[in-house]
Amino acid sequence: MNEKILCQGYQRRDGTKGIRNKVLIVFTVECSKYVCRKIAEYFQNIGEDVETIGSHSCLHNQVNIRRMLKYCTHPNVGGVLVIGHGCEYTYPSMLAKEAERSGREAAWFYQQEAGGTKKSIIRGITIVQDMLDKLKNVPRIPMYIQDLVIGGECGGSDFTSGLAGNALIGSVFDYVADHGGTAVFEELSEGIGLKDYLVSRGIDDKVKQDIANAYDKTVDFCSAYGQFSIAPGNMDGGLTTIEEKSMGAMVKSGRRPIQSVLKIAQSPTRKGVHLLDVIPDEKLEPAHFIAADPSDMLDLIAAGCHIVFLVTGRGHVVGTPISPVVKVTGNPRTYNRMQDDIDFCAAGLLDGTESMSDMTERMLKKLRSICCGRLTNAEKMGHREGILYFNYQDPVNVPKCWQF
Amino acid sequence: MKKMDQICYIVHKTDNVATAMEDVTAGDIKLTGENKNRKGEMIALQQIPFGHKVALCDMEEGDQILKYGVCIGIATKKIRKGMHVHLHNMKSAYDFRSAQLDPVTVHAKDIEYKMY
Repeated sequence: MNEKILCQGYQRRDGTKGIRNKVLIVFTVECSKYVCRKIAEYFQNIGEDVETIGSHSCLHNQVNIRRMLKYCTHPNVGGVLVIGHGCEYTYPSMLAKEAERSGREAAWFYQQEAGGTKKSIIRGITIVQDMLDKLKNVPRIPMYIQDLVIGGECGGSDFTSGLAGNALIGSVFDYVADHGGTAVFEELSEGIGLKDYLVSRGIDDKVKQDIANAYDKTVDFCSAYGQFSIAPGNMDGGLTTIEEKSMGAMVKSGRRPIQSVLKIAQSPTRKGVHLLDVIPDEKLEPAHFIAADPSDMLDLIAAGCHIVFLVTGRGHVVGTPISPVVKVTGNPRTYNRMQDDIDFCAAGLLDGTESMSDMTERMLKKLRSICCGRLTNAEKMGHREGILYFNYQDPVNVPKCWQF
Repeated sequence: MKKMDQICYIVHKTDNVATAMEDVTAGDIKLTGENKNRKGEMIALQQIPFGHKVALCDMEEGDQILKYGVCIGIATKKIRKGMHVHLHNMKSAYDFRSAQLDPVTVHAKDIEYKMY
């Protein structure tokens, strides 16, 4: 097959390969977020790749712990500093321990013990500076499409999303799957009305059943909440119903078989296309609807995505702290209005000036350059959104009945 | 000066709506895309905003609206060929809340923006 080198990746000691070499500062509760942000800003201002992420609540949430463990061991992350406040449930020591076990540089402390704001910031800067020095020595190794995990998401959809932007990402998904890579999509709440189609793509009977279960759960969840994943902006853009939006959204997953249904913070165990289920298994929590696009992209990243494609029609600006986000639109008006934010214009598919195969090739070139270190517009702008909301899922047992 | 063609795009051959590729005014439109079974010309009876849908045939209340070859909703009143198809004359078969939005402002009627 195609043995063309994608980029020189960063070799992690656990065998994974990253396209970025970040230090991640993790807060275990809202109270230590300020100190973490200040340390990160110090380094961001001098052009270093240092980011923050964390849990806001004092309380434990199993899904959030699983997510944070995945971020602390993400291929794009080389070093992790976890800062706790001192009285929350989430243990900074346990997060740092897993990061260390995966071969990352790792450290942790409580700001109460460090002596408060100023002393914690100074201590954090010293630790992160040391990590950055060590990360300069991370070996570079050839990375192939087989090593890559991509994610697909859409946000701020209009009628062009389904006809151009998502169709293009579907073509990129097909390419990646055909060349031994891995691709993850989600947004089953934007698959409403398409049960038969989605189930038909399951690779075997078990996966077909998993897709059907996840679909039924999503319909129950949205019905119980009384809100579906379509909003006034979509309607202004010409999308009338969730079914119409769904069909446009699901084309971004391409046409290859679905290999598995993943729960949040589960990694694919084989190559190909996977469907991520982000809907809670129990409890009617609005989590899924809050800050949906950035937080959903963080869930794709918790599945291991090195890079996420975000397709928009109305326009979008967001990024994530861990993986680069490539923003695509098929709406020429939106692209012209928001060129600083949007990385790729797919309008040529609609006016017939560019074929799907030519545009796919142009996008793969863009993908390679970003993997090689070229910054996306979200990275240039300093976008790093996404909040970890409580969720309730069992990664092993998928219940068949829901009582929302 | 000759007016440029007003293009409406048909995604799938079984669709009964087409998508306006620009702000369409009432009058002649040109159908592109999967329009193999139809003539390329039609008349829009109303304004069709950029990205919105125009009916390709007469429809009765309860008829399925087809786009991408799948049902994207149900007609809530009689729709004539050439009319604008949107929240005012169709609704989701699943999403009961969006069917109650104000069809013009797209504002939700069940949430008050009112101080107490």
